[in-house]
Amino acid sequence: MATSDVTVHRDGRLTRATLTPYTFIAPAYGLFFAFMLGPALFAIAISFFRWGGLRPPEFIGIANYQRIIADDVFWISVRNTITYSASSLFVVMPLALLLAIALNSPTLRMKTFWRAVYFAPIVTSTVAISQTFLMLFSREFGLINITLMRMGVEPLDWLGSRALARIPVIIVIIWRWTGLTSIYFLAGLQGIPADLYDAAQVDGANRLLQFWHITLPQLRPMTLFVSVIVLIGSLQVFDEPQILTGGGPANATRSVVQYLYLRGIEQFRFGYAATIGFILFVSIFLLSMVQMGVFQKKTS
Amino acid sequence: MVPRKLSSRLPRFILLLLVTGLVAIVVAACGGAADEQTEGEVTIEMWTHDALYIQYFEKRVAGLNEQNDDLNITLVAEEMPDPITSFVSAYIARENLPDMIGVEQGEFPILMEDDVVADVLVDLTDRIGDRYSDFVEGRWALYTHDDRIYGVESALSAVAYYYQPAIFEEHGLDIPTTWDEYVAVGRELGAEGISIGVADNMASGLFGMMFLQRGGQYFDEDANLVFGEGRNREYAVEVLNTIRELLDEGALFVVYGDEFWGSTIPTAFSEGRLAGIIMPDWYNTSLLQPGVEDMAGEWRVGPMPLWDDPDAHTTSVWGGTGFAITQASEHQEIVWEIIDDGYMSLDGQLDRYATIGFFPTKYEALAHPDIVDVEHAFYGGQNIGQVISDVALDTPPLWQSPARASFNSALGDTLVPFIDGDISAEELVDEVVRITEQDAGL
Repeated sequence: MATSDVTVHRDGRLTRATLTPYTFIAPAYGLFFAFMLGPALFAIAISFFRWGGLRPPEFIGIANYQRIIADDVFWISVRNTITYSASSLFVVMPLALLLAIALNSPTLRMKTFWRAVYFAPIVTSTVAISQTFLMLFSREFGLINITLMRMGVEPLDWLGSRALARIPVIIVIIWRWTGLTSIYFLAGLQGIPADLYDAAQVDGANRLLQFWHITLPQLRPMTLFVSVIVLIGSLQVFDEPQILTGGGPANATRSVVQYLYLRGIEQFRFGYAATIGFILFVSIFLLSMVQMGVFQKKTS
Repeated sequence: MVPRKLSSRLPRFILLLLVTGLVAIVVAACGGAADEQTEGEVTIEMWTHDALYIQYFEKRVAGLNEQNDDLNITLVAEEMPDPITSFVSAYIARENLPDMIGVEQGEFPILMEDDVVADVLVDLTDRIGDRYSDFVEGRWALYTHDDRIYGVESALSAVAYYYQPAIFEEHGLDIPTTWDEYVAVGRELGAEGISIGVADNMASGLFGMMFLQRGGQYFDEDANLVFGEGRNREYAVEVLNTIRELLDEGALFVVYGDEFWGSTIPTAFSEGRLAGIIMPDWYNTSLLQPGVEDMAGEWRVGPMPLWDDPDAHTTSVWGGTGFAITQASEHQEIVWEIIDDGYMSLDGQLDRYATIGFFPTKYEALAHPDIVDVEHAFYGGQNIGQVISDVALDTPPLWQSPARASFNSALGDTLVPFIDGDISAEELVDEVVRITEQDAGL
C-alpha cells in the first residue's frame, strides 16, 4: 500500500481514502453532466421527436433526418458555413501567423500596445461591431460605397446582394479573429529555443529558410491546436452573419448555427433544431478527428 | 491588536450577520408583491415588444385607479423583443408568467400549434360578446383559433400611400389612384432616377399588402394553406407581375431585411430619390415621423392604389398586436377591465389614437371628429384620419395558421430571387407552397 490512509478491502468496499479523489472531481463532473453531457444527450433524444415545447414531445422516428436531407436551406447554410470555415483556416490563420511574427520581432516597439490593439476586436461589444460594419457596408451611406463613387465606380449592394453579402461577413470574421489567433501563435513562437536560430545563422540560413525549417516545424503542435479551435469555432459561426445580415438575403449568408437558431428559437421546432445540432456535432467531431490524424501523421 | 476573545468571536459574529442578511433577502424575495398587497391593491405584470403600449396602458391604469376608490392597480410593464418567445420559454421552464401580454400577430400562430393557445391564453369570445360586430371584423381574425378569440387588436393597421407631393408636382404628375396609374407614374419617375415606392422581401411587405388588397389569402379560416390554389394563385401571380413591371421600369427602391427598418429609407426620402411608400397606419408615428422629422409639412397621405376589380379591397393590412390575458394570471377579471377600458371603449379608442397614434378599430371611433377632423402639421394640415377612415371598413382579414412561420420564411426567402429577376411569379408560388408543405409536421 502506498500510504497508510489507503485501505482496499478484499470485499471491494470503498474507504474514505479511495473516495477522496472522486469527491474532489465530483463537482466538476456533476456540472459537466448537468450542463454539457445531459443536455447533449437530451438534444440527441429529442431529434427523434416533434416538439414545440408546450406539449409533450411526439415520437416521429427519423422523420427529422429525412426532412433535413431535402431541406434546401439547410444545405445552403452548410455551404455558407464551409465558406466561413475555409476563410478562417486559409485566411485568418496565415494572417495571424504573420501578425504573430511581427509582434515577436525584437525590433518592434510598444509590443504591449500592439497586442492590446489586436485583441481589441474580441472585447468590443457586438452592438458596436454591428453598427460600425453596417455603416461601412451600407448601400446608401456606407463609407466603402462613398469611396467607390468618388473613384467613379458604381456603388455595390454589399449586404443586399446574394452574390456579395458573404464578403462583408468574411471580412468581419477576419477582423475579429485574426488578433486572437495571433496571440496563440505568438505563444508558440516564444516557445521556440533561440539557439535553433543561432545555429541556423551560423550555418548561413537566411530568414526565409529559418522560417521554413525552424519556425514552421516548431510551431506544428500550436498550428494543430489553433487549426482545431479555429475549425470548431468557425463551424459554429453565428454572431458575424447575424449582426450584419441576419442570415439574408434569402439565406445567402445563413450559417448552420443560425439555421438551428431560426428553427429552434424563432419557430419553436425543437426536434428539428436538435437534429441540425446533432449533425453539426458529428461533423465537427469527425472533422476534428481527421484534422488531428493528419497532423499527427505528419508530425511522426 | 484585537483581543483574543474578540478575535475568536468575530468570524462567528460576521457569519451571523451574513446569515441574518441572507435570510432577510430570501424572505423579502419570497414574500412577493401579492403578500404585501392590502385589500384592493393588485399588481398586473404586462409583457410587450413596444414601449408605446406601456405608455398608453400606464395612462389608462392611472385613470382606472382614479375612478375606483376600492381598487389600486400597479402596472409592472416589461418591454422585450419577442414577448411570445419569452412567454413560451418561461412556460416551459415553469418560471413567472405575466398577467397580460401583447401578442404580435405574426407570433400568434406559435400558440395555435397543437391547440396550445387555449391552455395559455384566456378565451375572450364571451367577454367580447355582441360587441364583436362593433369592430372591424378582419382585426379579430388575427387572434382567432377554432372560432374562439384570444386577443384584442391595438391598431387598425390599414394601408395607405405616404408620399411627398412636391416630387410629383415638380414632374407634372398626378398622385396615382389605381395600380395601372401607379405603374405609369412609376415609369415616369423611374426615368428620372426617382422611385415611387419600396419593394422588400418581407412576407407582410409590399407583396403581402398588395395580395391581401387584391382579395387573396394565404390560409383559409380553418388554417389550411390555400396560397397556391384557385383565385389565390391567380391573384398572387397578378400582383407579382405588377411588381415585376415596376421593378423593370426602375420604379421601386429595393430594400432587403433589417435595412428596411433603419435609416436607408429615410435617407432616400430626404435626398428626394424616393417619392413615397405604401405602408400601414402605424408607419406614421412609429417610423416616418421619427425618421424624417425635418420634413414636417412636406408629406401627405393618400389611399392605396386600387385594382380594376370591384371585388378587390380598397385597402390592405399589415401587422397588429393583440392584448391577451394569460391563463396563469390570478387577476383575469382585472386584466380584462384594463383591456376593456383601453381597447373596447370609445373613449379608449380615441385616447389611444391621441396618445400613441394607433388608429381605432371600432366603427364608432372611425367616424368620430377626434379622428377625422384632426389636422396634422406633419402632413401640411391634412386630415389623415379621414383618408384612413374612408377605407377602414374594407380592411381585409388575414387568416392565421400554425404553418405561418414556415410560410413567411419561405415567402421572404423566395421574394429575393423573384425581385432579382431569377424566378418567375409562378415559380415563386410553387416554391413557397412546396417549402411550406414540406415543413408541415416538423
